[in-house]
Amino acid sequence: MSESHTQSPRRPGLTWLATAAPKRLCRVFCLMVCCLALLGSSARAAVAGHTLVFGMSAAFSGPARSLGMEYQRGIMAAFTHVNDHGGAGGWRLALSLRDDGYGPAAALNNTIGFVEQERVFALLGYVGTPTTARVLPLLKYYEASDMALLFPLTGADMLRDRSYDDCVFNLRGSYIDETRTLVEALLATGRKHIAVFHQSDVYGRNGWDGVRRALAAHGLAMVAEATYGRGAHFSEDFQREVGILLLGNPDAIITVGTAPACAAFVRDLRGAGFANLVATLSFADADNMARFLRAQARVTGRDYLSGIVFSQVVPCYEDKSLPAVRLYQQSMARLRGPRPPQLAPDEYIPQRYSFVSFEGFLAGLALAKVVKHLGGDPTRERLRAIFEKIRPVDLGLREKVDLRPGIRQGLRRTYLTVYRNGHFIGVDNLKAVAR
Amino acid sequence: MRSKLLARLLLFTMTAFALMAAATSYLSARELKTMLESEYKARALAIARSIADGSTELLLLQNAGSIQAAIDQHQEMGDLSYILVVNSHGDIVAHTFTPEVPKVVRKVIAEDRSASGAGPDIRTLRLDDGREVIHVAQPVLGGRGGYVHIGMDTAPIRMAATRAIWRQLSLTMAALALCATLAYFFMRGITGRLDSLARYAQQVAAHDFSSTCDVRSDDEIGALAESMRSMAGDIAGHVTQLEGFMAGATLELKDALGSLSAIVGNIADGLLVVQNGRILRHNPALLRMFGLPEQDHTGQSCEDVLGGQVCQAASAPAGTSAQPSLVEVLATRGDGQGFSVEITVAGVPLTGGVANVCILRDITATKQLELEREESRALLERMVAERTRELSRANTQLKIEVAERKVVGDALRRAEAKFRGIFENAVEGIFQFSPEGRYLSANPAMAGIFGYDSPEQLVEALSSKSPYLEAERRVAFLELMEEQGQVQSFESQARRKSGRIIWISENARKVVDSAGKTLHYEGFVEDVTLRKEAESRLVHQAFHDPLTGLPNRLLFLDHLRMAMERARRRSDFRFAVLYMDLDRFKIINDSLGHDVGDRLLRHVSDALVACGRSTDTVARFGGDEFAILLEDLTAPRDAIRFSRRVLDEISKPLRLAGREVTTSGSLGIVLHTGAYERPEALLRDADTAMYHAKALGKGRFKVFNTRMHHQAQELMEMEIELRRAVGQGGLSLVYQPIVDIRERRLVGFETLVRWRRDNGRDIPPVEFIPLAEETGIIYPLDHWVFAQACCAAKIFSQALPEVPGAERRGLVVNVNMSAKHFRTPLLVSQLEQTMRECGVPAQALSLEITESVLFDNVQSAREIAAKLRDLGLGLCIDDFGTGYSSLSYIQRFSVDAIKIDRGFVAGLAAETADPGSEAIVRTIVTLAAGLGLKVVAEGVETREQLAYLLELGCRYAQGYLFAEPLTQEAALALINAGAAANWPGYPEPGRA
Repeated sequence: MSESHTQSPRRPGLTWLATAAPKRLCRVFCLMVCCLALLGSSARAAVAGHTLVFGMSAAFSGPARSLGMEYQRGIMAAFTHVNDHGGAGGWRLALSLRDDGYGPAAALNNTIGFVEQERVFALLGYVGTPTTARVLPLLKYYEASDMALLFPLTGADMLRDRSYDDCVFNLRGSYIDETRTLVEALLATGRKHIAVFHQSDVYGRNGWDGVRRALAAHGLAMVAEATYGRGAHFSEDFQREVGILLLGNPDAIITVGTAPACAAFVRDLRGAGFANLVATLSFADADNMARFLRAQARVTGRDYLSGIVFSQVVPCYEDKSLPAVRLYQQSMARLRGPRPPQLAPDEYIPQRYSFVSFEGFLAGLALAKVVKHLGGDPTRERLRAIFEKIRPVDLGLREKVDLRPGIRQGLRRTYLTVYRNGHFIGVDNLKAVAR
Repeated sequence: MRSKLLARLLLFTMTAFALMAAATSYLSARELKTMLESEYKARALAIARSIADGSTELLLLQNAGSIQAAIDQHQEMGDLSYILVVNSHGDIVAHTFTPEVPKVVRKVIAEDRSASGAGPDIRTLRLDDGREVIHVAQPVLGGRGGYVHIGMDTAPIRMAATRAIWRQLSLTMAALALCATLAYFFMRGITGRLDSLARYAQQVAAHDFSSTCDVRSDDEIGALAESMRSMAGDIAGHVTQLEGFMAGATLELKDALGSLSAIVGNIADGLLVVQNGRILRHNPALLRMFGLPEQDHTGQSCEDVLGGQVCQAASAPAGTSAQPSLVEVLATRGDGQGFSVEITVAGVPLTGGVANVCILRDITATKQLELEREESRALLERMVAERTRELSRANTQLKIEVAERKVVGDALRRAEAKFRGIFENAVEGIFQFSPEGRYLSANPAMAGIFGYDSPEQLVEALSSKSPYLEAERRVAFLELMEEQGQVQSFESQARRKSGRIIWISENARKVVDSAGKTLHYEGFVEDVTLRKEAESRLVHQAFHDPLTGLPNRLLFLDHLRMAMERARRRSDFRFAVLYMDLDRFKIINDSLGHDVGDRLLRHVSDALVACGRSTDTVARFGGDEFAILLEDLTAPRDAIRFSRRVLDEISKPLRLAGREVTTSGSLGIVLHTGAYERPEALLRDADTAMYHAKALGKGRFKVFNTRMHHQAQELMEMEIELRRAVGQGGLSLVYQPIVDIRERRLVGFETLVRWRRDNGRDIPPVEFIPLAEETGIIYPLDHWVFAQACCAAKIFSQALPEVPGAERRGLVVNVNMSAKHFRTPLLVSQLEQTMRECGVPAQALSLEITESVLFDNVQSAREIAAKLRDLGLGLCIDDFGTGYSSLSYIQRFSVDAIKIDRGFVAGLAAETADPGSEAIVRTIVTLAAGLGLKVVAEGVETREQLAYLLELGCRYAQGYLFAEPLTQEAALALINAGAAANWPGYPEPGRA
């Protein structure tokens, strides 16, 4: 603040200070102090007794909570495995959890808490597009301290923007890729009248955009679209939306939403007599969706799960031919102990295995591979440097994973799965799925 | 009635109020709605712009996800019901609708494309679900980048408006209820009282005065109640009074009826009331008159009872009761006897028609009385005539008196007018004023004095303010008046209307009434400003010299006295006194005229004033004498410096009347002023010092010192002694013989004064004559000398005849006469008288005068000289050649002899012979011979001188060679020795 500020009591700056509640003033002050502390000792911030702490903000409550829960469980399984085997390069890995309930504002506050209060080493495993999208500008703000967001559970296009190369590192493929694969697969079956049901937010728009672009590549346009509000429960009635979509007379519908919403939509869609293919994205959490639909099936006696294509960014967790799957299943079996207290509010029954936790497990492993290269100098700057030059790592999949920023980053493939006989199985094309 | 009025008022008030409330709430809600709408629109526009600005880049990138992120963020702010972004192709890129974009909005989007306007478009839309929104379409990059549409729900506006209406209405209803309650109580207060008033009025109308109205308040109703109460009281009083009157009238009527019956029964005349020829009423007197039996004849025919003639007269149509008709008829008594009866008939309208009321009187006796009355009237008329004559006489006398009175009145009026005229036209102001100091009246002259146009103006103006300049003069005036009853020449300064200050003199007296109380003061006032100014001018003149304006001697002495006082009080106070006299002023004055002299004096006075300081006093004592008082000197040299400067200044040449005039002054200074007691002494010493300065030469100054003091003292003593000597014979005369050296005989004597002082010292004339001249002793001295000389001449001439051969020519006694005498015209007569007293012919005397006589005051001297010559006295010029002798003067003054100064004579034929002297003497002798003048050589002491004189042709001589000055006896002895014929022992002239 310049001298002239103190001379004139009517300067806006001081007016703001005067009118602001003391609490707010205090918070701003704390923020500033934290920043200073952070800048002064960035190396030591995230390191506490040979343990690297990573902050994870995700939906641990609300309709989307299964995503957060499962992703956290996967990561924890990997961390436990790594820590049990002497840590990553000697470093113990730990998670600090905060619940954002799939809300962008909460995610933002949590991030600030991680960076400034807990001084985590890096942010890890954020779940959801709208939440992560909101945190992105904050990462720019913390650019000076090299804060990085690692392996968020979202396929949003903007996270793959080149301008975020130095602070966001992805493991999973983008929704664009997923939707393109889906559209290509659907077109391959001769279905050209594709409609989209999507969440009315960034996530939904991303999926919608992917479908639109994929169709546009073939000179097509979607025949109908309908949106729903974020945070919808399974109990939501989507008959109106179904009606809107059916007006377009589609022969396939791609849903871009969360598990409860998608499950509810499928329920009403089938209820409306639509028997054709329905596709969902990986974020829809196939296992959770299956759980809803199975429950619904028990009520109505109908089979809701057939005719649904689940797009995934990881291989099927039951494919034991993969070393990663084997390690995952062992680690998940060993994952014990009480749930962290901040995850307590909602009752949640964890899946034994799931695509999401498997993705989390892979993310944990990938992180361990990176951390191993830190050696005795655990700074964020170095972390980023490692990300930029690390050779593709072997996570126990069929091919190595390139973690370096760029178009080829992370898991590039999209796996199409269907639910059959109580299990998810991967399919190469959708010809068999079609009824 | 009460409830109606109250209800009506209440209803009206409430209705008006309710209408007003409804109107205002409706209006304010409308206002609020409009305001909110415009505000919302502005806000919507601002938001649309901000979204558009933020989405520009994303739109160009066609990144729907990012655009959605951006609009989600805006959506979360909660103000907007939807946001929709359209790309440049018109495709919807992102929106926040669920589940789909409403048709209305789609239509609008399509419209926007076609309109392709660059500016934002604001409209109000009704969505499919019935919501009304403010829809803003904001083009991005003027439509090329697409459009941002936002919708803002208008529900909050409607809600706010509705809330405002309800709030306003409820507030108004509360106020209405309150007002109604208040109005009810307020109006009940009015109508309740009106009601009780009305009830009261009804009671009063029903003649019920017992109750009163208890409405009491100080408003109009109270006043109405009060007046109603008093009205009711008045009405009650009137009713009671009327009833009383009625009862009284009934009683009176009864009484009147009773008394009327008594009167009718008792009157001496007969009363008859007739109607239609029938008797309605009668009285006993009628019956008695007609000698009828006492019975009631009412209802009977009149004719039957009273006879036809009477009845006819009584029944005849009569006049009114006010003007009854009177008839005289012959009636017949019951016994048949006829008698004269006088009937007065008056018609009275009664209920049954007009009745005639007749009074009948037996006038038999009356007729008799009438005759007697006729006689007594004749007697009375005679008496009246006599009385009338008397009265007319008295009347005439009265008229005369009235005329006299008128004459006196006229005289009074004339006197009044005269005095009024005096008052009005008096030159002096005349006034009257009250003891309180208020002017009661004044005359025009007074108004004139104070500068007012009329006395009324003056009185008005002076009532409010005192005319005096000093307010306490009024108090002094009144005190003086109370003390002495009058004031005289009460002089004060007053202010005229114009503000000019004048002096007024008032003479006034107190006017008292018979009880001794002061009524007013009256007096005269005079404008004495001119007199006052003249007085002050006179005062100034008394102390100042009119020519130069300088202080005169009096004022100077006064200042000097004060300075001396001051010096006595303060030891460090020094002052000096200077006395100045102009040299040769007299000559300038005489030769150039008084006008030039005056101007010179003014010049000198100016110079003196200029040289002095303001504290110094420069005074002119008259003539050319000035005195200067220098006060507060630091050192004596200040006075010296002043003197030098003054002398320098004065001696500068000056052009006056076209001539260059040079003058100078002599100054005497007194520096040591401490010892003096009297200012006059100080002045005198300054004068003395001045004389010393003058004696030293012109244009000098001299400081007075002790020596001068002593000299002055000496002189003074000498003066005193000399004066005494002249009076008491302390002087003596000696006679110096004058010898005709050609004929060697005595021709006369020169009289010389000798003075032996008390101390025995002989004082030579050269010492005391100037003193005498200076002090004026010269006049008595010369006269004494002349008188002595006359006596001596007589003695000598008497002695002459005894001397053989001397009778042909008498001896001449020369007397020295001071030049001063030639200024007094009295000289001639005095000398003539002296000569007459002694019986000496003028030829026996000759006057010796110095040349200076000729210069001083030439004209008068010449006249005097001529007169002296006419007397026969000889005139001889003494010490000829020493002064500025002018030969023309000698001729003009008809001098008959000149004396050669002894100085020249001494220079003749001595060892130290002076050829100049010889030439002078020769010239004088030649000149005298030419003019026919005798020449006398003075101071001849040696034979050589004598021889020389003889040789030169000088005829007369005197000196020690012949004789010393002789006493009278010795002179007489010389005469007796025959010196007049032949000088005994005449020294032979010759050369040593």
